[in-house]
Amino acid sequence: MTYLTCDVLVIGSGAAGATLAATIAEASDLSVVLVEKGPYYGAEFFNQRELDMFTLLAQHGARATVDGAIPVAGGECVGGGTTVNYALSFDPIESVWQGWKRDYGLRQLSFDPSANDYGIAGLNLASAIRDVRRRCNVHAPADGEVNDNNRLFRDGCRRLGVTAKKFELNMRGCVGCGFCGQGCAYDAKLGTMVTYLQDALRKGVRLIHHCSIETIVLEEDASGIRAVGASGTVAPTKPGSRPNGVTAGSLAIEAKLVVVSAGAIESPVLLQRSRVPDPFDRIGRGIVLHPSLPMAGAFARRVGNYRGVTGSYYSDHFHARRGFMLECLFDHPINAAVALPGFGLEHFELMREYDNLMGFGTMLVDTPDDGNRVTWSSLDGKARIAYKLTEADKRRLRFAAARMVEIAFAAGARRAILTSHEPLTGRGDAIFRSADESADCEKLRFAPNQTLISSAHAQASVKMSEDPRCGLVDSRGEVHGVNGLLVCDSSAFPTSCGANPMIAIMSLARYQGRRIVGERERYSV
Amino acid sequence: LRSIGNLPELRRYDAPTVGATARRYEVRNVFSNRFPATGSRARRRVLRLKRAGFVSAAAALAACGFLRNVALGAERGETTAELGPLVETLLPFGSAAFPISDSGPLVRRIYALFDLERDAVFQASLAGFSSLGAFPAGAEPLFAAEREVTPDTDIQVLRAHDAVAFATGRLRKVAAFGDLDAAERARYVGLWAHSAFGVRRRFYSSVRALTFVAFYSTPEAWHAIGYRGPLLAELPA
Repeated sequence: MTYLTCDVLVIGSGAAGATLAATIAEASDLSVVLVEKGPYYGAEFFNQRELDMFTLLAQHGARATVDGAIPVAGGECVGGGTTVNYALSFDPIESVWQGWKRDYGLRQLSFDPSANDYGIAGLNLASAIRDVRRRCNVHAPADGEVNDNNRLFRDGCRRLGVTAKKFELNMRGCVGCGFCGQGCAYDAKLGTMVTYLQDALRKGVRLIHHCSIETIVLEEDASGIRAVGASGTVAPTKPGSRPNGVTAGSLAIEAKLVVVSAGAIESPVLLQRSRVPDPFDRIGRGIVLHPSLPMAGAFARRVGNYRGVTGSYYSDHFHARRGFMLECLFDHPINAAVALPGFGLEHFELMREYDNLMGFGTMLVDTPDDGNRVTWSSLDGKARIAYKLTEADKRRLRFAAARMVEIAFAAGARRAILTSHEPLTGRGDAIFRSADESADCEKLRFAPNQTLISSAHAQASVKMSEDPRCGLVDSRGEVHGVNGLLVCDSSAFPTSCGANPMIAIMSLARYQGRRIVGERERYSV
Repeated sequence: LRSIGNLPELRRYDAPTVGATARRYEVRNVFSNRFPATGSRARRRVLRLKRAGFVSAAAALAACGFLRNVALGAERGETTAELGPLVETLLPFGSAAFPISDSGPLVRRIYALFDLERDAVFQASLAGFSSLGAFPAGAEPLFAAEREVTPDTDIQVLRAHDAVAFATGRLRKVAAFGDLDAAERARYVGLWAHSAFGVRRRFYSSVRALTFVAFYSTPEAWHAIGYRGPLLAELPA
């Protein structure tokens, strides 16, 4: 048994955890321990092989909703999601955050760069966003870095009068290998593992990886319920990981402040397992996943698709009115094979056209529904994600699918292939031969395990709200009715943040980190 | 941390929470709608009897389905089902452009990658698939009958449905999936891919994914589709 004591314990080293730990360590002399469930794989481990790199994902990529229909990807390694994402960076959308203030009663979180939130000089979201953008070198790629696939998508959109814009990416010195999703072998993608985590380590933050936190320890005293630490186990270091500072075995950490940053699936599970008081039954409820529907276009010629910057163009044309984005991405053969419909010779013939495919997809900003929920299963200890698309979301996805078919043909594809086994066209499949057939997308039923919907942006499972009936935590991220316990990650968003969430999560963590230091007497640290 | 040794006892929130109360209320509400407390005692008794009758009929049908599966399995003297024939259907073994001819190594690779031998749920599902529970004498009528069932009905209803179909002679009793010819295998797999039952589609999509992961991670597959692999160790064009 290893015992540790610290001022602040941060659980999770992803977009939120690493940023928060670095921010606290930078601005104060507080002792910080950062724990991560996954291993500490560095650039030297990332071998650009799709199969080997499934180990970077939660449950080796097999985590899905209870009906097995929607894979819910999440990074389970140092750096979390920022190690395995495609570097797509969107600043927090001000109108969404204003909506949260209106609907969930959130306070402070100012977008005004001259605001001093909580009376702390210079504390506001604008400055947090500015810091994060600078540290991660968020910028739009040069025209020369745009690959064929992205150009086709851009041209297809523009021919139909659909706006297409360049993504911003957190990269420096990208070589264009096309393996962002498998971990950057060149440290060119500036996820938290190569940015804020390194800052944190330099400032003396103690990183413990391979560490599963089983429970947060709560005690009751005169002032109420208080989090006093956490206990868990450190697994033996996996081959390929950098060495761990703590020997394998059980671990107890005493801390004055515990921050949960384990992501929108694991954070609610940890809170439930720790029996954190939840008088209004809120933990895990109303989770949103950003359901994504991929599309492939088959061309008569070779398309440069899997090499180069994977994603450099997107369209927010339908974002304001219909609530979805079109984003250009491409997958390596395993993911492509699983996504493309059919089996046998028909499927293999599609795969033989792999070099001639363009790929992009819809990312839906889904509506929170209390029936969609993450719970903890006491049988196997794993998260159970119950999620069903609402009828309104299905309607929006049908509309998006039809637009995607039209864009594929406008780009010059001979066929447009939806990742579905549903009989949509007159030929009983989901392979469209002309743009006129796009109306057949209205027949999509989104039956689970028949149409592939995927997710990589789980959010809003431990919502922030000043009203304890609407959210477990308040605007500071503090759990209502518990002292010394904070939640700071994508789970704290009251609804979807409206776009790929990395920069929004990092900005929130930067903001909360500075606030914690500014209000340290509040936590007796 | 004195209290860390006895965590489960440390804090229990067993007192009913607002949420739990609300849930119980909902459950009561559902029952009160379906079995109204109003009306005579006799009427309520009839309703209760009807409910009991429905439950026992469903249980009997499920038992029939289970026994039939056991009987068919015993007839064949089989304990575990083979994955090979299914893999050979999901990938076009034997076609000209397909790079490998023997499914054996690939099946062993699937078992090695996913540790399926110890996966009881997978083995049971594969046995259910291979025993041709839903193989119709004439595919279309059964397909149509399946379509009428609400999607995502649970496994108990699926078993009951199969038992009825079998009892009414709509299912053909054949030895095993592996005994079918290639065209019949493809038709049967297609039936699972498009089934109205979520559990069947789930089995299909799971095995399909396992097979594709195992195959499309090999250099043979990469070569066949023109994929050049990692930039760190790029294959020749």
